[in-house]
Amino acid sequence: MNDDTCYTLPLGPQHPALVEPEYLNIHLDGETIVNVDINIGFMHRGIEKALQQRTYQQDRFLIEKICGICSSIHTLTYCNAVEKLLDVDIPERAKYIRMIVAEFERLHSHMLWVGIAGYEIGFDTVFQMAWRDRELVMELLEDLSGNRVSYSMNTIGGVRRDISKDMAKKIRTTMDKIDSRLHHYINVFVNDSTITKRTKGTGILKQEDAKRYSAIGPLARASGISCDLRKKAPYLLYDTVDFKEITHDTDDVESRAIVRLKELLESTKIIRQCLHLMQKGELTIKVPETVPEGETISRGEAPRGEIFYYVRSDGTDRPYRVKINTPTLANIHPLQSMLKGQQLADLPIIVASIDPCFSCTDRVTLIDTKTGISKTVDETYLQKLKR
Amino acid sequence: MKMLSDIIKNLIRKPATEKYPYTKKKTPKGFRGKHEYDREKCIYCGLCAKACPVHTIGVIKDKRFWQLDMSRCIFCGRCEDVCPTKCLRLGNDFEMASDKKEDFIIK
Ligand code: SF4
Ligand code: SF4
Repeated sequence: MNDDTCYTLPLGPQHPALVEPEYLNIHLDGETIVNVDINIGFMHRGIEKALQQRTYQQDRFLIEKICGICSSIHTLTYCNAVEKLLDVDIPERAKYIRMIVAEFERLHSHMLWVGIAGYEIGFDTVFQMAWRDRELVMELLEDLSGNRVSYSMNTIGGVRRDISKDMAKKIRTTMDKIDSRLHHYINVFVNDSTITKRTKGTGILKQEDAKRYSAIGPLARASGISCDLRKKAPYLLYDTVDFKEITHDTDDVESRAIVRLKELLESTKIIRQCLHLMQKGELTIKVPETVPEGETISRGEAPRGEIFYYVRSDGTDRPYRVKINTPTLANIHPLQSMLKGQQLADLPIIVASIDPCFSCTDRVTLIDTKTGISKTVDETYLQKLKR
Repeated sequence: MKMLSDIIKNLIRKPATEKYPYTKKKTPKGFRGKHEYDREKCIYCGLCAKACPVHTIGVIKDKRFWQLDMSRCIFCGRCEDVCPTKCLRLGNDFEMASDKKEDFIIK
């Protein structure tokens, strides 16, 4: 855009309104956003290469640190992939425990989002309250795994810790508490005029746009697209529990809030069922250190959308290649369509409404400034450059 | 104004935050904190060193040498899992800040 009437506002890579470094180039006409250029690539950490230099079991701990919020779903999907390569079936109890931890993760991730949404529209009470209620889940996770953030619960061949009877009881009572809070928040997000004035009709993403930009996760479900992997391609034992996939079709920020909050009610339902269905049994099975030659993929529904792992083994104890695809990489592009025609003041809440996680999004991309052609480079290309 | 009742209730509720460091929080069972190492029981097998994802444990069997650098540790607890004699475990201490490098070495 080189229109004379346009004002270009560069936002980032470091900016007080952004938690993580990212660069948005915003073209403005007065206060109205005309166009947005999204530039990613400020947080590349070379994790995929580092994974090739460690053993399969050691990789778990690096993978868990790709994202602090989604640490369990990352290891879960990775372990599922490696277990597929090893051709082993993990004990049923381990599968249920994995599901419980994954749903805990969704609970605290979405509650964190509710807080951030409140904060971005300047309603700090919602922010403080949601984070206070999130502590309930964080404490359960700490009790269960020994750590608040990196739970390290999944291991190749099962899970590392068991859920005791006392713990199960504690989980049940906490779930009841959380349910009542969730009903309250849904009421607040639907009926509180302070919130609806900012969220209704902002950041519209029409269903066809969502499809065109390949949006996934709660963002797509808030535009009426059904895409929950737990229903579409069930992994673990998601096909044995009863829950609904939540979609909503008002396409705006409010819709995203409703989808996320209602999804949590389903999560607590899943957790209760898992606790009920769990039988006594082994937690892990013994697996060999080396993985037979082959390649496989594995998918999982993270709080923000679909996570994808490709693992290739050359018959040693270290992976030949691990390719990771994360939800924000798909969800950041619809921002272009969501931001067009909106007020600048609504930008923070619209960006926040995709629940971005930049640290797992960044890739190395080279852009030729003369031709404007960009390409994402691979490892061999970088090695050639090094020489 | 659906949050109003919440706001008023909050005025009389006691704070949700803990007054650390004045009141110290009890760590849960199975917490992954500072390592506790029992040299008497160690057989210097080196399994912990092999398992550690960040390579922060050094073991030399012949010299009966065992050392761990906590500043690199990510407290994953894998060393504890693999130790055959259970002489190494992650304890409850989480206040490990120090300005001396030696304080991070466990021998
Ligand atoms: S806790 Fe993990 S990182 Fe720390 S020494 Fe043990 S194996 Fe290594
Ligand atoms: S695994 Fe245990 S016994 Fe073996 S060297 Fe390590 S601490 Fe000692």
